Amino acid sequence: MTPIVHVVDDDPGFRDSLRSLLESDGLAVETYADAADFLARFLPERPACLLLDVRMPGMSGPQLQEELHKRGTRVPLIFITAHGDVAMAVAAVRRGALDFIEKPFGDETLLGLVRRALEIDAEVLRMAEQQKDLSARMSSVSARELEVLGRVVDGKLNKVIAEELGIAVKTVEFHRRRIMAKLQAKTTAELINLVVQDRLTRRNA
Amino acid sequence: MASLALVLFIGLVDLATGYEFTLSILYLLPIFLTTWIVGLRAGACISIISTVAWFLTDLLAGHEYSHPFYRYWEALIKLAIFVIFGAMLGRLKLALARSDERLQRQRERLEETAKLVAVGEMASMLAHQINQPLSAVVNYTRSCLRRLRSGTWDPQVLEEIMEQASEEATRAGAIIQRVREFVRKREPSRNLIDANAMVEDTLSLMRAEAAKRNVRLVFEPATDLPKVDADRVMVEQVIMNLVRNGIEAMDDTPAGNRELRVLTAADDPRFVRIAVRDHGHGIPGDFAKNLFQPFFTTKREGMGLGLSICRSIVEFHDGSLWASANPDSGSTFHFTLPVAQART
Repeated sequence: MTPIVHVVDDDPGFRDSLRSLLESDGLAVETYADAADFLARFLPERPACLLLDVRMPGMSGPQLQEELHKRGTRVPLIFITAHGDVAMAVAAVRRGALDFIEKPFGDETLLGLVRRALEIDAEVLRMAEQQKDLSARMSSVSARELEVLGRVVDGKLNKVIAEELGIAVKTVEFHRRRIMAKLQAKTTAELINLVVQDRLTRRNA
Repeated sequence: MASLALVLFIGLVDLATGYEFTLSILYLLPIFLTTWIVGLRAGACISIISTVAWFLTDLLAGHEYSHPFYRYWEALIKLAIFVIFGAMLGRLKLALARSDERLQRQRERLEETAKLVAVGEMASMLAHQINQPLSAVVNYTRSCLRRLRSGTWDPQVLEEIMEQASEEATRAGAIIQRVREFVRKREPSRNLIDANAMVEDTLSLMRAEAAKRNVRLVFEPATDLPKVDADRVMVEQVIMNLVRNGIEAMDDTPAGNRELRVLTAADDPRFVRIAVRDHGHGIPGDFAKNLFQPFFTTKREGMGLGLSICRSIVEFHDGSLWASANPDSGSTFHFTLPVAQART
């Protein structure tokens, strides 16, 4: 999906000039006059980044940042500051914004930042997709297979697993093949890797 | 006129009621009214008339005294009381008028200070406001350049962008125009001024602020200081600014050492020198050369205009402003004002 740059700034002249500059680099741009408009229209399904004015009437930039955080909306933020707002911008970066840029700025500086933000977001989006996929595959593994899988990850040999579960080695081998197929793992190492990844995601969630 | 009628009326009533039922205290009423409304002299006249009225009613009422001299003595006492009353009233009125005047002056000075503070705030707001269209112009022109360099461009798009860029530039110009109208230059008015009194007055305005930050303000006036020829309001702004800087410089000084000393001196016969000495953090060597540059600041919230404005004011008066490091700690800011020439 083509990435998109969102611009939230209350100054119409500045907002449009940003659009013009970003479009000159072939980027898709959407502009919003205030934070409320952005919250109403933003859809987090394609790689995006948000260029956000620090000082705005109504909801300020940092307040929008907090609101997005509360809603669990993922989008890399780049704050645009004027002289005197730098302390505010630094605080915003500490709270998780990608970066800030001081007005007036060079086009290369801005476009470089935007490209980096979009790359990061695309990567995050890809990883999220992968994780969703992985957890879907994981949920197709049956309870019995999970018992076997747990022991495989612990590094136990088929013979040991068979003894522990009171089944034939052949049955263990059969379960393993089915698990490999379900999780689309080609080697045992890959299988273990997937399980570890899944456990990490679950723990972070 | 009304007072005269009142005096007459009281006299007649007093006469009618006889001398044993005395109403002479009521004469104070017309005396009070006349002194307060018309003035001290008119009040004195009414006092005398009242005394005469009392004397006549007393006489006509047939008040007998054991000795005829007592009647005159009584009249004299009445007159004295009336006049003293009037005089005290006059003083009171004068004192009130003076304190009114002082309040008025103080209010004017505060307004002037507020204006200077407002200029600082306005400069900061202005920077923001002009930055806005200026940044837009940068973006538009950069956008144009990128399109031109890419080799494929639509003249119509470029035209539109340039149109918008020039609109934004015009907006920036309009903002500057508005400011220019706001800060029309105030005509300075120079007068003969006693520098000691001026410093004393300015410090009295700063005492509250100093106390809030635990700073002791000490003033060492020089004796026999010649008068200077200066715009008092402007020079007061300089003193205020230097004192405030000094107070702020001592934020990290232990409370016991927070002393700001202001002194006046006439070490050069042509100039009066005013010095403000703090025990603050001092001025790091590399800052010294930029100290008076506009927009140079080490304060988080400052615009860096204070000292540069101070220097402009002092130089406007043909004086000079400089800073020196104290041998123990902190720094001293000095400025000079030329001694007023004897007017020929």
